[in-house]
Amino acid sequence: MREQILDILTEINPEVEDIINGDLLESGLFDSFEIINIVMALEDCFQIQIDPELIVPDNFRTVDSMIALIKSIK
Amino acid sequence: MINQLQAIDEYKTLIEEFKKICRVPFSNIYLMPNVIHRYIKSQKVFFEKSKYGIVFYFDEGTYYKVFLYIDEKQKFEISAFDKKLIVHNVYNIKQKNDELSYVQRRLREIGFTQEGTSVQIQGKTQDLLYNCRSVEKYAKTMEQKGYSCIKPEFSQFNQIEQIIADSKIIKDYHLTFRTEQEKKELEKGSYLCIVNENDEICAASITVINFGIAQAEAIAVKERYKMKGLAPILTYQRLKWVYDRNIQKIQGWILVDNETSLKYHKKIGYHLTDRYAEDWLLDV
Repeated sequence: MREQILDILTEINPEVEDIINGDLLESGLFDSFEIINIVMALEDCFQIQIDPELIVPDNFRTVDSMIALIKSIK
Repeated sequence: MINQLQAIDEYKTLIEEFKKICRVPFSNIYLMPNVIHRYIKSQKVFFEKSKYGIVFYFDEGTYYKVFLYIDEKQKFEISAFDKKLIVHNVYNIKQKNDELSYVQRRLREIGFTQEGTSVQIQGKTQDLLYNCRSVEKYAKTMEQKGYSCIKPEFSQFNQIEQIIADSKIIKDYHLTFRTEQEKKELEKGSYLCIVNENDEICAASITVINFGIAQAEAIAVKERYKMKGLAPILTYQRLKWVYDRNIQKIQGWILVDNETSLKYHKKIGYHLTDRYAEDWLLDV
């Protein structure tokens, strides 16, 4: 799962490789526009529906938080 | 002495008379004559005339927008009023010269503080819409999840304006003042918002079409709804609304230190023009 998420993030913004263990939102690499692409890609990849209530900064701040989010939905 | 401007002809006469005294005056007036006429008709323009020129005060409700037509080498005066004063100075960055610094120094002497600098952005509607095409699918998904874009009724405009004000990025003097009647006469869709399944307004935008160009006046998302992709959805819906009206160009202003917004708008295809605007504020 981690690799799949890393692939998604890198495709959206290759610069993410440099700070992959850091806070992705604080880094400024991802804004509202990229969040859209991340949500849609995660939904497609993991065949899930992410409730808007779960589309909050903390769930997309790190790779680990995204893993936790996906596991909570599946 | 401060007088009320009665007619556009009076405005023109004032300007022409001063031009005979000062051949190259400084002016920050950028309003078109028909816009000035609108203000005059609403009895919202005042002026004071002196040897250094004319200072115009446009009543914008919570503040006066101050326009100068002056010999900037002279020490001009600006009277105190019962509301705050804004000098909105638009200039071309390539033509920035000493003339601006005379006025800047004098504004500081009077007590004005520089509040911020904005840069104008422009884009072709069709290109921007194409670049936002990935948002369309997301917008549909969010709609299925209860977040839909609507054209609000006039009764909701106050709520929308409050959301914009609460963003604290867009100040009251960044918005064009309109009377209640003028707001009612705006084309449906000038105000757009995203509501959730409880009909709560989560995000809103204001766009106005003037002289064949769309002016993107404001866009804001309520704090607790940020980072859900609502701003891109609203941006997309706004572009669609503009495109459906066969308007090919859209423009707006962004504060130069709002890096997030600049980055986002450049990403979808807006370009920065050479036009900048400084806001000088005197808060009474």
